[in-house]
Amino acid sequence: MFSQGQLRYFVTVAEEGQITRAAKRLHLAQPALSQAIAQLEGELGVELLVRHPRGVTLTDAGEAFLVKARAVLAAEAETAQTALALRRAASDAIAIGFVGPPPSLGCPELFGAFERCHPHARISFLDLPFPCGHTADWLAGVDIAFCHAPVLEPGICVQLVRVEPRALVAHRCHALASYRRLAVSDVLDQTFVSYHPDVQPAWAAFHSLDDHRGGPPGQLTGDHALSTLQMLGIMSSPGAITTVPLGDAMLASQVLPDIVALPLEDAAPAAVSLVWREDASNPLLEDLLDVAKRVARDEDEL
Amino acid sequence: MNFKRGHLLYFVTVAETGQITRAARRLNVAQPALSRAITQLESDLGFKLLERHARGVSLTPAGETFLVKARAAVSAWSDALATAQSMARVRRGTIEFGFVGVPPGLDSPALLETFAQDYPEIDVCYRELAFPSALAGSWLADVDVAVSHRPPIDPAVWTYVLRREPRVVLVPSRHHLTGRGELSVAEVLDETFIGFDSSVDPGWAGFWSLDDHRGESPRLVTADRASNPHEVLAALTVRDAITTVPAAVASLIPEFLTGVVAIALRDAGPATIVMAGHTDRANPLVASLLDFARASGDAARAAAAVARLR
Repeated sequence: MFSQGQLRYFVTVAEEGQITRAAKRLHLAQPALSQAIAQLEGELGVELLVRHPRGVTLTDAGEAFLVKARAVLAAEAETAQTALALRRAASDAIAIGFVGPPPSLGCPELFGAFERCHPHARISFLDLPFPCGHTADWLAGVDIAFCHAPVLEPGICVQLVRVEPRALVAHRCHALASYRRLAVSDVLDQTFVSYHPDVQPAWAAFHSLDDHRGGPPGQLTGDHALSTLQMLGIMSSPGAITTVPLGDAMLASQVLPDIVALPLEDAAPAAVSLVWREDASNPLLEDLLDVAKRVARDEDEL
Repeated sequence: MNFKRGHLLYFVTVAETGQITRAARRLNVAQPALSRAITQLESDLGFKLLERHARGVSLTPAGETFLVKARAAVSAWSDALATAQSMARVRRGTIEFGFVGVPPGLDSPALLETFAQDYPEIDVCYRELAFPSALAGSWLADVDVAVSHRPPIDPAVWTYVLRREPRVVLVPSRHHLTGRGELSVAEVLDETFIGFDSSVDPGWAGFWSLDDHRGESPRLVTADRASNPHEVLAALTVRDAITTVPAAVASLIPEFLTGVVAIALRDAGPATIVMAGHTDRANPLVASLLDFARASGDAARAAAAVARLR
């Protein structure tokens, strides 16, 4: 038999190709990790790794077992996430993910109204990284997310909250920062913030105006952003720009004195939405969606 | 979130059997211990999984949702374990060889005898399998390779066709068809057929009930829930019903079961006897066996072709 910990150790070593690097990632001492892997091999009765002076490679058995070990870890993580979601559902709690500024700032009319309807509910807001891979996996730790819509897949539901213009965010020393009005054609050829290769291509494309250019920017920063904070970090030097929904841009410029927000008048707008998994089962979810519908209707009437 | 992996298996078994008592029997644990474990799991999780009734348990809506994930986790775990055990067997030089019904040494003696001579270092252990469920991969979980009629298609399983065999009708000796030397499909389609358990792949159960010729299930099926060949034979001895089996099985039946008669079926499509194994287990011993079967198959076909030319 083997433990979940042993499987995680083995998968990490296989991914890193080096005991030393894997030990660092697992916050373990290197001899302890070597010993744990040797023990796993002893219990299985097979060698999983071939040790070389400069790292490790997998044996054929190791390759076959890696697939199974990964499947176990993924299924167990999924079980734990589902358990947490069901526990929230049973205890009047909801976890709301967001990208960008906190939703209570970005959309007080929705989240304020929702909190007033449920004064005793435990509402937690979680800052999500940019979506990578499957949207369903990205949403695993929350019941619903508030953001510009990620890639839609079967099993993912979306409800539009509001349509917002896109705005350019730039450092106040950037050459474009002094402009009052900007059109898409003024900014297409600039250096843009590079998004991490794991980020959903459609997400990166939206923020880099690929829809208007017909392809990725000609020039990108060397650093890759995986989250809003990293994106703002890259922009703390004046080299690069990106675009976000106007409300997010305004909030960023209020909080960070070095950042300016410039509406892009002719850019296709952003659909700021609530996104959730079809199999989500939290009773508070329905109420949040109802409040969001009401808010959207009120805005239409204004 | 902190819960014990073993508790997941307990919960899945209780959910599947619908009764703590039955689940305890299947898991080989005492019933109070199982009840306590489930209560502990519910308290670890922070929500209720089961509603307890006088005559059993049912799942809460949260229990239903959790069951799907718990089952996937349990099956990923047992799959990893089975793979590890298979790899350990490779190291010991052992092949776990599955079969349905007739021991492979009886219905394909030449292949296995010659293999044993050519590979004395490989030890073959035989294990009888029940009829396949819809997931051929998990059906084969505990063996490295098996010989049987073609199991349901599964990307996790490879198959190699060894031979085709006519289907033969089995009837109890007091059945009205007993005494016939040969039958046509049309004559038996409307007979009562032996029933299979719902866990058996419907394609498999249907094939032996001649659904492929009828285009649908038999109109009359016995109340039996056979999940392996012995249960089919046991049912045949007490029912006024029939079934079909591959010819090799039929040829052995009269040797050890006197109440059952085999009758040739003139125009039924043949059974396809295959060797089957796991696509995702790197097993060099099975690779040797498969190479050997291919080489003998090629040799046999070549010999047959030469014979035809003469």
